[in-house]
Amino acid sequence: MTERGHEASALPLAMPAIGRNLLAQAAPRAAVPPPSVRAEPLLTDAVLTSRAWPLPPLAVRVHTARLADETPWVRSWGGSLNLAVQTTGWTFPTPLEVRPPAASETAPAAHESVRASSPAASLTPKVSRRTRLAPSPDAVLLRERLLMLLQPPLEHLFTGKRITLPFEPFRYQLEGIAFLMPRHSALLADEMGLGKTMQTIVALRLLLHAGLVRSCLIVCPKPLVPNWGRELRAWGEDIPFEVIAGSTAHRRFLWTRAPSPVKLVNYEVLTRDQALLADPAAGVAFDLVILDEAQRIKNHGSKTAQAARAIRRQRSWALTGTPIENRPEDLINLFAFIKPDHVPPETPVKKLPDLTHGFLLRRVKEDVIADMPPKLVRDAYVELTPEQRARYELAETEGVVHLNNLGDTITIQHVFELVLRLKQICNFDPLTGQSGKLDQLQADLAEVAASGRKAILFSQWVEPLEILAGRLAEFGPLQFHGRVPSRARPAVLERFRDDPDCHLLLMSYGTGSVGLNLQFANYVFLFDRWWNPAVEDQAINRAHRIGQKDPVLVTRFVTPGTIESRICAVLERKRQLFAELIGDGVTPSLGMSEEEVFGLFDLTARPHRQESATVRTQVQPRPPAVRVGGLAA
Amino acid sequence: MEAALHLGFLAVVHDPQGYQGGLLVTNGWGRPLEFRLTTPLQPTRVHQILYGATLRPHLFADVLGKALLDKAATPLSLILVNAAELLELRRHTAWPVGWVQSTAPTPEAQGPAADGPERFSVEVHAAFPDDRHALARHLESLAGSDLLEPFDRIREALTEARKRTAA
Repeated sequence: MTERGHEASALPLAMPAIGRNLLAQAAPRAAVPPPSVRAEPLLTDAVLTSRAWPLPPLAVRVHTARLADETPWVRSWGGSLNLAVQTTGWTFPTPLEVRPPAASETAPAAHESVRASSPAASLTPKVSRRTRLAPSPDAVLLRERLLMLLQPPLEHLFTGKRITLPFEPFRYQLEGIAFLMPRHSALLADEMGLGKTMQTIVALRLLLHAGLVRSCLIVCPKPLVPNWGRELRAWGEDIPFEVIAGSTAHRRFLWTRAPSPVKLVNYEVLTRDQALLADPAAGVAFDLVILDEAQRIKNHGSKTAQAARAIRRQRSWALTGTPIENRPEDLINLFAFIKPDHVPPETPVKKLPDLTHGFLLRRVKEDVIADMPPKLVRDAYVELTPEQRARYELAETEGVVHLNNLGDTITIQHVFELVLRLKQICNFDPLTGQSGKLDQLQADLAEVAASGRKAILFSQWVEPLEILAGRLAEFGPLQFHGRVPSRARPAVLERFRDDPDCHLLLMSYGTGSVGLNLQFANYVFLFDRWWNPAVEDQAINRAHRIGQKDPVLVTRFVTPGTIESRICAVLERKRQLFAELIGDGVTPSLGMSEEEVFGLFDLTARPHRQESATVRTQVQPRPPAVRVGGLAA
Repeated sequence: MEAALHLGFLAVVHDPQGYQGGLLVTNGWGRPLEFRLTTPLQPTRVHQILYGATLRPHLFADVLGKALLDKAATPLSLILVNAAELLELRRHTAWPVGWVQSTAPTPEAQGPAADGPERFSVEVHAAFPDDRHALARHLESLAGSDLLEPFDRIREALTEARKRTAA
């Protein structure tokens, strides 16, 4: 019991001890006397009996209370309370400083509230639509990507007369500009008539203003040089440019010394001056090179293509409505200029879309212009006159016999000669001058003139155009072809546009099919057919383009049962085949292969060659080199 | 010859990585001349407790904004900011500072017939009332400009920078 009593009394003693120790943490320890413990004897009268219980052994458990008698701890904040950051930054090329317009010219009525409001100033932005630039997919440097992301929306640049444009661009045109601007490699392949030239000039202008481009070379076909000049003055009124032409010494001066930021040159001069361009010592280099009608470099080994690729440049843009004119290799060869080594020469067709994605933009009119007037194409099957038919049958029969007699000495040029002779008979009987097409044309033109409209007519040759000019005099025809001097051509176009008595413009495919804006004409006649529908499309789109307000009626003359109808059938089959392979996004337009040209006639003769008979070379007859009974354009 | 107009657009954006500042310097046409950004800053719970209501002004103006202005290489004509807290930046700079904010009505209040151009206002620090006149003088030449739009560019640029850093 004593032990129990001790245990019982010891428990309350432990509590004050804990309290003391806690107290000791807050104050100096005080001397406290230990408590007294006494053991009292237990007295009782009861008889003590014993009983045997299986008692458990007594055990003592001792708890030791650890006294928290150490000094209190203080925890300090492990991190710094200071908030600090690091910065990174980039400076960009200094944009051209163009004097802002005077406030009196541009301040809208809302501007008054700037002064009137207090304490806040209020402004009213004019535009809500925003076309923003995005970095090019191949832009690697963060600085370069940020520079594009930080450019203002295009619409903002055109407000407040900061950059004046003759017309407000369509939305798809702004998107085209936003596509071109960030890209060092770009192929703008919009369908003809959507304004590739305008989009390019505005993009160039904005790059010049931003200080991102300081020198630019524009290369275009010779007939289009005046057109580019006009467009540059219209859409880039503040861009000084020079046309590189003249003597060798003068051209050298222009290439190396002329201060204008933009230079304009045709493909022929470019090819002529290739050595100068490729010479590092001459120091001719450009921030941007633009190839218009870039299908001119579709043949990789041609001098034109070599000259274009030899230009030292930072950015390469190509413009064409027909990125694939004859075969998929055309696109590959375009990219040899646009982005060298990006599309290998033997790339399978199926891989082309992946490789060109991000660098190629193509829109067709139906996609972007909801209210574009329709283009109605009709094939006018015109029978040959009896004299024409007789002459034609005789010429074809004799021609085929002649070709077969050539045996393996036959060449494609022999076949061409026959094709061209027959096509010319389809136009006019060489002896009587009769023409089933002309009869039909006169009837159609009478309607055109009666309605006060204008028409364009295309032919492969100059001679039929000159004949037509004489026989259609009542419609005030004008001529625009290779025999018309370049300096006289702009005046022809102006007269055609302005003179109400001029209802007909006679053009050759070679001279009039590219780059011209003739949207004031509503009728197009293809008097004879070109080998390649792409060229025909370009011709048609001289009239069916932006600015056209009325439907355009296209009449393609075809004489049934002749070489014309056979060529048309071949080209149509190929067009359908390529549409299935590539799709509608890139409309193919195909020439004819050598095999197909031979297949136009029932020929047993074939040229002797060492290679396989499956020749992939596409045939593009060159009118100037083949002069059979007519004059090439 | 009058000095060219250089506008500084200073924004602070907040995302899960923290607060990040961006400064875009443009010419009068809105073309970029310079861009700076800060590293993201994530204040802790302790910062929030200790700084209390003063945390955001301190973070925006004294830390992020000041760091950007200290490093800016282009002399500015004025500074436009996207948050009221950044007006405190005025105490660190001699250039006038204006807070640009949209005054467009809410979509509910706007209704389908009120589809007009966006309106906005510019406010200045109460301790620097003269800034109002300085800003108004500069903003005269910017009539028709959307002063809120550059902040979108800053946000996109900060996002791009973060993506490129993470890649």
